Amino acid sequence: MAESDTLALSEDQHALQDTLRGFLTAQLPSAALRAALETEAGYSPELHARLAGELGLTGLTIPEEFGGLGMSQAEASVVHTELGRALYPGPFLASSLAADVLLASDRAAREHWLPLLADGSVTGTFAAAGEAGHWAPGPDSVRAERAPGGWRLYGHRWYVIAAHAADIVVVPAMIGSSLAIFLVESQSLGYTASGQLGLDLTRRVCVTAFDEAPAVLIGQGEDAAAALDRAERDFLLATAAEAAGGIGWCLDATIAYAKDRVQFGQPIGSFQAVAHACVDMLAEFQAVSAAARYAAIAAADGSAEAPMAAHVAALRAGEAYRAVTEAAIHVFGGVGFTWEHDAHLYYRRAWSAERLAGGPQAHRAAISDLAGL
Amino acid sequence: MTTPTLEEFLGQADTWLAERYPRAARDRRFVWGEGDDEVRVFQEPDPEQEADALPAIRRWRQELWDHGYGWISGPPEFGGAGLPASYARAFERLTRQYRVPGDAALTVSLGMVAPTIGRHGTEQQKKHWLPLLFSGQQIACQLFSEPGAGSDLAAVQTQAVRDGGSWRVSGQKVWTSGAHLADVGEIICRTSRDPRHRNLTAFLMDMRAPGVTVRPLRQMTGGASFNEVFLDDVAVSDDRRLDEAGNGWKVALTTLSHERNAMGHSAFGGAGILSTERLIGLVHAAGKQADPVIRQEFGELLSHLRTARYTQQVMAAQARAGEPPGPEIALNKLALSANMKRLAEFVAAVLGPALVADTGAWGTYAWTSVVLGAPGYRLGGGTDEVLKNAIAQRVLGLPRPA
Repeated sequence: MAESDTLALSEDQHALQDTLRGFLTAQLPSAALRAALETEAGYSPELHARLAGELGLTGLTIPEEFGGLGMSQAEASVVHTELGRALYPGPFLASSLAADVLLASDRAAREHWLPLLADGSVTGTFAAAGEAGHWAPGPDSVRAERAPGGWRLYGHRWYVIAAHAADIVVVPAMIGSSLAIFLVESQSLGYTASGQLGLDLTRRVCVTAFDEAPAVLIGQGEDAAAALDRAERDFLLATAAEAAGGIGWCLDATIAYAKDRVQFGQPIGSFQAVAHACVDMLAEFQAVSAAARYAAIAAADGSAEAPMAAHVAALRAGEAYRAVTEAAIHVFGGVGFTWEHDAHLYYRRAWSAERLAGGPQAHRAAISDLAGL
Repeated sequence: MTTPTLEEFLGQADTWLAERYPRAARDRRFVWGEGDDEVRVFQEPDPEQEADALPAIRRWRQELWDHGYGWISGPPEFGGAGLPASYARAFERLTRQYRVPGDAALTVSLGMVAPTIGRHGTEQQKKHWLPLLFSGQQIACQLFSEPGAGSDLAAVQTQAVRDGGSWRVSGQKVWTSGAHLADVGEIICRTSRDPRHRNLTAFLMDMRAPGVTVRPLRQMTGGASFNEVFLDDVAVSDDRRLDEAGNGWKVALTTLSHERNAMGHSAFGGAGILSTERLIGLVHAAGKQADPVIRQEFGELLSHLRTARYTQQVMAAQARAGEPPGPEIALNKLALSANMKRLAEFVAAVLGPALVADTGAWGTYAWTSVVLGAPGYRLGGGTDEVLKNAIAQRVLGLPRPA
């Protein structure tokens, strides 16, 4: 791992990065993003279809036998970085988490749903968090009961990303005291997704309610626990990569402004206090980019460092993204505090993503545990 | 001659090392309570031990040189083996499996002065000096900072005046690492009244020449890692001039970029002060492993230490892939100085009063050297603030202050 050459972007990964950045710069400029946020869905289904069809992104990490591109977390990290840079509001992350869990589920579910997720004709989400935000099973976990004709689910899951746009919901639930994973079709009677008022305007979250909702059992026992762990890890990798992308946007926009904006007869970037704030942003960009990349490669390589690296990347990304967006607003000054400036969209994403990914206390505790303290 | 494969090269090197040096203990991990509990932040060896170790270091370099391992990636016309840099890195890793004297005392000589000669020296100078340095026959130091020229290095006042075919140098240098051991010093002098950055010239000064006086400089940790060097009308022949007269600032920048690179990459080894095992041992010894606040602080500290390590590994992979880092390499030094400060605060939280008054318990009071050394890291290799100015201008392209 220490000497892994895959830590540097390959030629193909550079090309993927360039293609995606070019595409999103052209197709999702600020005006288009803001127009999409005003719609009922909060994103453009047409643009999402192009990302799925022209670029194959929805099938990125789905194996080729199920119609995907069969790539690893190494490529996923590149994609999440670019989507995070553009604050892409579509249900890419939610759907890729659903695919992640389905990959470890039983064969029938995989064969039916993965090709549909891969070509983008079906969108999924993963509903794992309780009201306190924890993914681990607890007293408020969704309960599953066997009924004539199949399983029924009872309970709530919170902060479910893009549930309003999802055709299928993958949800952990307890059968008695044992963990299992179910799939619910969102059209089912007994299932509702209600949008929560959310801090992050570019990523909608919902409360999902299961009231005798019909569900298909797709995994249980140790496999279910392993799938849940993997999905949580991949969620951390994704949000860390998104943070690296968002920090990159803040850095570029802030530098450009610091060169251009004149006060006291000189560009503000010539003032040491401003220049050093910009260098601190660059330092955070480098550290978070490297940590996110390292964690993704550790996951792709199955390295023993992978769980540690995921929590390290998530912790550093969360703290750095908040600090950088705050610093960006500060350098932009009054204009950075206006609704029309995009800086607050990144600031909102930074605060929201850090909490939805578990929060810093949880990562610090996990790092201590994993280090053997 | 055909180039050996990396495998062939390492096989021969392994045999060669095994014939000459004992194997290192297999497990070099840190074990709490075993051995010396010294916490080393700067190289602060006992002067007598240091002088005693020098002949062994010189013999080691000479052996390497005589058998083609002295400068593995160097060009053959200057005595190098002409092999790829990956061979040199692999050999360096291999040597860690043996108890060899090592090159720690030669960081300035081989890591900073030699590459500067490689970049700025004449063919004649490269042929003369590079074999001397890589074979350990000569050890180099760097004479840059002065009492009146710290962050503003270009303001050096030490004068070199032409005197026929040579120069006469007078002035005072400070913060010179290893001057007391060095045979030759890369010195930056003022040589004209031309404008700033065009008025300096670099020389390779004989440290044993009449008029050179070296005195140890005791820093706030209590040790003496550095020297003051007094220069009283020292004669330097013109063939020791590096690059053109007036180009000394460019020469200095080359050396400084290598210095920052070397500093940012110091990982303090497997059992060093940044070792996870050592920190865990410390928390257990203090009986605070179940303290939730300490566990939070440990997680926070470790996230920074791991991120620094991950960053270096990603940069190394990018360099191997043909994307070497630019001036942003200096960010690693900023991370290191910030991490030293975090480390000092963490050990203070764990140890409480045992940090500030020696209870005699192993591995506790020794951490005071981190507390005392941390401010030095913000200063060394260019202050954090001067490095930020350089990055702002050279990496981000921000305008200079008016």
